[in-house]
Amino acid sequence: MEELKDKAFALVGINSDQTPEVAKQAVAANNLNWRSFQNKPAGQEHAISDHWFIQGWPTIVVLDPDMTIRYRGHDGAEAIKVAKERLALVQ
Amino acid sequence: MKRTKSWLAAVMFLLPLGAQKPAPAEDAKTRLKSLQAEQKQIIADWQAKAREAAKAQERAAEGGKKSIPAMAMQPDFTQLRGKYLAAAKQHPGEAAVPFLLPALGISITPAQRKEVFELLLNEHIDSSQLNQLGQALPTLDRAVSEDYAKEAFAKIEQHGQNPVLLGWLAFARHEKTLRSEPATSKAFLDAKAAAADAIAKSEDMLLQRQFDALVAVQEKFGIGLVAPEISGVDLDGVAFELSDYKGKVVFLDFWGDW
Repeated sequence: MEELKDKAFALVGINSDQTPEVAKQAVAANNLNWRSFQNKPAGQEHAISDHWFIQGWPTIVVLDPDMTIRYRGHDGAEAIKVAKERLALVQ
Repeated sequence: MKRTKSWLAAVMFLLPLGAQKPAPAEDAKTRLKSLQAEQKQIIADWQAKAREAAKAQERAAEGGKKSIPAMAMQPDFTQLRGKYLAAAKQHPGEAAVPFLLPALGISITPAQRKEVFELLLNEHIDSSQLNQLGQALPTLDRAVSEDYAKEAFAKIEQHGQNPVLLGWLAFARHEKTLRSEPATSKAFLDAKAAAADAIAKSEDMLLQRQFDALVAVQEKFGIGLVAPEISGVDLDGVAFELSDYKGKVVFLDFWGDW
């Protein structure tokens, strides 16, 4: 992932922890430097993961610059491969 | 976890029944309860051992030792499985099914699974308790073999009486296509139409949900489709949107620290 830094690339999370505090502890402990949506902020009826029919964690979705879906699944290595291929195409 | 006294169950099992014949229905229930208790105990013992092994591993790591005790990957249910099968024989008809279903659940090898599946399909296909078998159909090709899955599916279809089994059968047959083909392809549309009817008739909520989710994933989130907007807040409560990242390749990670 390091090598993708500064390119036309963004890592965005959707965090499913019980509270943002739990998530922030994980962010601090593991040096996670990406921005995350709260999956289901307090007071919100539906979780983002429900809208997206997410059935297992982690799930990764890779999007083109025009938000076209290029990968969806649980295989991190495969997702990185697809992301690199898409990056090579747009640059 | 509550500890059941397994020796008590064993003693009760060994007690001579005497000349008096017990009421069969009550006897089957009692037997099932005692086997379920035994299963719980086996799991509890195995978990305790696993915790021990983890501790031993920690100690070995601290002490720089390399040898750690061997640990079974799963509890040993061999004997218990035999007891469930024996009890199924002793209690024929509908009363056998509650013993066969857990025997299937704790079967490990493909041959063991096939043995129990065959008993259920050949002798109890009319039982309403067989509804529970439906969930096993989509993975039967991996749990036993592709050939056996075909054979079992044909049996269920030929009999054609249990709507729940037929619903799961339709799902099992079309799942692969629904998962892999683009939502606009003919293959996908045909599979969706073929499965939808049988699944609706099954009135099985779990099955319906799985099917709906599978179809929705391909129709709304399939490869080549445009992702819907996400408007939300970050961990600090600050609002942002997925479309803020338009123009970049986005690696969207549904994650959690559990």
